[in-house]
Amino acid sequence: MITHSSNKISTVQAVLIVTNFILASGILTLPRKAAEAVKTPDVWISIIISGGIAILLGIIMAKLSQCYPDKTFYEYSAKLMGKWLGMAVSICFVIYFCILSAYEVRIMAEVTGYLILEGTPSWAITIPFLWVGYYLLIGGITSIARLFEVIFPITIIVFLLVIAMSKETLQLNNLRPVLGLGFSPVLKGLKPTILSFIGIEIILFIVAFMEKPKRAVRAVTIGSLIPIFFYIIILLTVIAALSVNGVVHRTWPTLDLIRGYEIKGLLFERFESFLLIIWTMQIFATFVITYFAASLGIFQVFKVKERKVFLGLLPVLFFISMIPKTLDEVFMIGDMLGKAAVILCGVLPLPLLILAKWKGRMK
Amino acid sequence: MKKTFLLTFLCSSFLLSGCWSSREIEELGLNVGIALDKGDKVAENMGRVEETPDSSGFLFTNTYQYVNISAVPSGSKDGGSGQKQYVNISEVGGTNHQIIREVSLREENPIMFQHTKVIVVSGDLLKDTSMRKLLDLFLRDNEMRLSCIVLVTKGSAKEVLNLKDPSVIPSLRLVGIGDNVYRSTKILKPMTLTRLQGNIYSNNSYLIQNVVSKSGEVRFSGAAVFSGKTNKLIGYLKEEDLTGVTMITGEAKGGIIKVNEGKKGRQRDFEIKTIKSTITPKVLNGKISFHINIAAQGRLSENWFLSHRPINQVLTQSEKEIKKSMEQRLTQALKMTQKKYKADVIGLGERLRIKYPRTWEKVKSNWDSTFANVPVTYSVEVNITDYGYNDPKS
Repeated sequence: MITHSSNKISTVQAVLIVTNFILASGILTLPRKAAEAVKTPDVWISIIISGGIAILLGIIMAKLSQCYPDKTFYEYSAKLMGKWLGMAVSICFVIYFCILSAYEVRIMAEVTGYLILEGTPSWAITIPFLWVGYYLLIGGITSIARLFEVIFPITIIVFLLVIAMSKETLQLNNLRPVLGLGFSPVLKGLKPTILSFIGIEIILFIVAFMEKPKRAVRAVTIGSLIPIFFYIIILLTVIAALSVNGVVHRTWPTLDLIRGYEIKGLLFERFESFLLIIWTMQIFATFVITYFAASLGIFQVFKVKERKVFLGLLPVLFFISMIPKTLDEVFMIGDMLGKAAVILCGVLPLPLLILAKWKGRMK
Repeated sequence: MKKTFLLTFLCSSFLLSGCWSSREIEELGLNVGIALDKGDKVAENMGRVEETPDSSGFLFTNTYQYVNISAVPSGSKDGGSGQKQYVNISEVGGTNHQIIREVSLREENPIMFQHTKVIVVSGDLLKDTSMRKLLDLFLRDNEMRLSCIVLVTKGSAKEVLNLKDPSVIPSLRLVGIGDNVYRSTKILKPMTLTRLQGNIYSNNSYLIQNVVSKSGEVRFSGAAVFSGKTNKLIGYLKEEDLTGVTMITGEAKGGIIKVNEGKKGRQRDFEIKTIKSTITPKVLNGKISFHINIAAQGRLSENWFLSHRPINQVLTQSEKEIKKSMEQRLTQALKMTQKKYKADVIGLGERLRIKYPRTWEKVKSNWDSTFANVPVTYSVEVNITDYGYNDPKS
């Protein structure tokens, strides 16, 4: 079922896969990371620029995949770079996806363990999560895409609602002045903000599943524009509520925005659980898609049976997610993943695209 | 048969586990307010066998106010039991979290901070211990919400949470008074933990509403001034001074400006409908100066002195008097903040930061001392838009 002959996804579904992959744990921590680097309220400009860079990289990757429209990166990497080098890069991607997947699971366990299920052991939070992911994966990429079609509208509606209700706590002066200290702080913010677009690399693997591979560029562009929109809103509101000085000291600033107000006279008074619900759904989406991408790699590189791959990966993901002992170590893994992503998705695609075009012309 | 069994099993395991780790509401110490005071070993040690050793020697008292669920009248009927709806419990210790756990030695139910509405801190405590240290736990903890309000009291914080009237919960009354900002110019915008978080970590000085208590009643009375550098209390602003401050910061939303021009019996009240403050910073050859413009519109709401002159003349005269009165308040506010406390709690630095960010970068580390000597001018515009059902003429 993992093979792509029978499983096709529409362009909209491809857009949603990119969007749901990008939106993940970063939603809660992005304001702090960005504000730490920029130190002025101009963080939202940084995210627009880095979003632009991410889209550019996404287009390069989409173009690369379009050179081999019915093959995933794992399949064509060997053709492109030779058997052994191609295999090595593919394995790097598999390891990267495994760690990313486990990282998302761990962040989910950390946040729900601290805020919702205090006292529940983290294995009890993690294991059901993993099993549900396995169940979804058996259905192949079409099931994943259909799930994303369900959770995406919920995410948008709930997100905009809980953010809009924070209106009273916002102090617009915290967002001013715009570019007060010139452009250099904005540039400092590019590094942490570009990492919040991790996930765009999925386009290397899903073009092969698209009904119309020609629309890959459009899919990746729209798929990244939606997260840019999310991020801008989050940065503006969180900085407006907590100010730059306040944000840099908060572990999960976006949650603080929602924890900073109570609405009287409505059915509910507090809304952080709503944010956590959509956030958990987004984490689940990212977890599933990385789990899928890692399994796909093992399946296509080593030709192992798909069910065995899915099942075999579960304990691996579980153990990786349990490795970090403290929250700080978890964040360190996040930074490591960022560096890996820069190499795999930032540096690698352009030379490969040139190589592919050159090889194509040779024929 | 097998399927039915499986279905029943699955349904019951999902539905019945809903109450997993549930806690009965009657068994929760539902905290609504916290008071922090200087340590009082004698009053609060409850005859402990051993003193808790604390190498720093620093002790303070926490008072937790929680809802007495058995006394809360159920339904619409008023209980009339005369029993207090709240319980206050005080403990002494060296850090907040430690004190909370000391309570576990005295009460069977844990205190829950999900519904804490207000934290009252004694000014005496804040004179030598910074706000950041005292509230660190509450900003860090996962139970406390950031919408919780912080107040300061010149007297004993414990007393503020103790009302004569048994039918109200003191913490809720304190939050309720804060909502009256549209009725008085002497109420500051509530200092929620969200706002405090930003203030604590910046260098800006700030104000927190002061609340006083006397014989079982409370009153919002002026504000406590905090130095941005140390986060410690450096003094108080009186109620009269606060009007000028809220007019400058734009926190004043409504209220009464009383005018008493000349002889006795000439009182007039001006009820503010809208008031707008515009602070314009100027930087000329490195010299910083400010101009504040206050524009108020409102109603002549009470008039003891009836005049024979035409209405428009009476109104112009009143506007003049109101303007003068407001100017006096501004002068007083500036005198107190610039000369007495040398702390910019009126948001001038904030405007400078927005308008001249590069100048701000140079002066921000020592802003309060710069602020003390910065020239500030002001102008006031008053506009009486109406005078109620009676005209101001006899």
